[in-house]
Amino acid sequence: MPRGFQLNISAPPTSWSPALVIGALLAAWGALYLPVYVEFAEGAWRRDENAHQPFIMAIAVGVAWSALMRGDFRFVAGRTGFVCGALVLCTGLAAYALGRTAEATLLLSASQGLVATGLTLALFGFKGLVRLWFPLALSFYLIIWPAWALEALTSPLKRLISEWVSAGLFAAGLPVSHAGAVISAGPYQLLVADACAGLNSLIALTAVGAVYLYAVKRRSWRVNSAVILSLAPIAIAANAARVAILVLITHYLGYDAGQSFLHETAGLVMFAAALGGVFFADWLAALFWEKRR
Amino acid sequence: MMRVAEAKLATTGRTLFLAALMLAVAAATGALKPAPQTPRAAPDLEAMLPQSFGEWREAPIPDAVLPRELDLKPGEAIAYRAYKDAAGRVVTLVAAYGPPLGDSVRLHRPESCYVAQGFEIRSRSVVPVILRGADARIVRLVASSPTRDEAVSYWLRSGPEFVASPAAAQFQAFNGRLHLDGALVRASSSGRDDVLFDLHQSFLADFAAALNPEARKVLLGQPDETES
Repeated sequence: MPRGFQLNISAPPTSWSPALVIGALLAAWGALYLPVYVEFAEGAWRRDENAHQPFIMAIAVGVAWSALMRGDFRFVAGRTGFVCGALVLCTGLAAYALGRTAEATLLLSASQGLVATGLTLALFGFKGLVRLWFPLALSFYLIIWPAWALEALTSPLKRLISEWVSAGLFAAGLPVSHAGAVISAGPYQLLVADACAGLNSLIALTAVGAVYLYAVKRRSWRVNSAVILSLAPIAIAANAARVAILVLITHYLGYDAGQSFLHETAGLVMFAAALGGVFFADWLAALFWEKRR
Repeated sequence: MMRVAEAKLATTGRTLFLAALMLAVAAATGALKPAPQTPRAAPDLEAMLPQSFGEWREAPIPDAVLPRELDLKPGEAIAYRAYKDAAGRVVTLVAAYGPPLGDSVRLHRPESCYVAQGFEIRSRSVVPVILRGADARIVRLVASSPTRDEAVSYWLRSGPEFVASPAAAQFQAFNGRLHLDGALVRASSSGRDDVLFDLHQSFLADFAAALNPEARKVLLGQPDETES
């Protein structure tokens, strides 16, 4: 039997173990995380920087489910896989226990990925882990970072974006200058807030980009890495463009116009443009590298 | 076919084992988890701040750099004051309190507050001081924007300790010191002279000395019974 041990999750109904396997795991997961998700839904997930997380989770669950339900998913962990997986699971459960009792959201949210990885490894072995790598990798986006860690990341970004925008507009002959994250356009002063610096959309954009890459399934690793590397620059450039547009709106139409619905619309337009940029980068990279194959 | 059946059985056993492990952890942490604390009512900082202390009298608030995007959560409080001494020197005071389990006070850290509003932190130092007989640490900042300089002195209390960096406060939490509330007291003046920091130091010492027991507990973390 070349395929060795097998587990057919979608086995005929005469077999009771798949239902038991899935049911027991779902119950255990629910016991661990349902109260946590209720808590997150009332707090952490409501904040802008985490708002994408429930969607990422739904995508990860959907992708994992469709992978598990495929007829050729017949992996069973060997002894090593089971022991390694159980160890990862225990690490995850330790992070969970510490995070839950100490109210350390970072640990609590990070435990999701560890628990899921440990379970996958312990049940389906390394081959199963490889097959499910993508939904498991998505769990990285489920981590809720503490405010000071995000701030360490956003404030250089805010300064950089303010600098580029003011330098660019000044070079174009507009009376624009900046100090820190505050841009002065003529008589107006604009504060580049966290939300504007686009860290939120940057995270969401890399997630969408990753899902897109997974969905189109290009075989060339070069195309994939080119697109992955382009995600952050595209997101930052898009947000710089957005801030520039807002400065221009403020300069020509006044402060109120810059804070009106145009503020939100500019954000949406820029997210769409950034997504277009990702597709374009993908198309370009594919054109460049996949022709030679 | 035999091996398939065996594998299925083994997997079922393993799954039940793993699921039992997870359920045990869920049950254990559920029991250990402190009952959800309904945040106590936020302290009334406005009422706690003295109207005058030492040589300082309350004055109208000048154009100061105040935290923006304020969105107070339950249990949090913030209050602003300006005080003027006999020589006409004005110090702006910000007092903030965050209940346990929030990182709000750390969010109001003057470093980020000033940087977010276009200031650059030119220098930063930490000086040990004694406030009401207890060791504390005051962080001194010089923040500059193209149009003005600000000298800032603050203390940040996290639980019973005074911390000088947000990472230190986070580390405390992993060090077994959980459920810490926190308070920030910040004095600032326009200018960047070293003299201002000496002024702040005596200002903050006088301020701490003038606090009533309740305010002392909130802002300095000193228990009621400690008579210094």
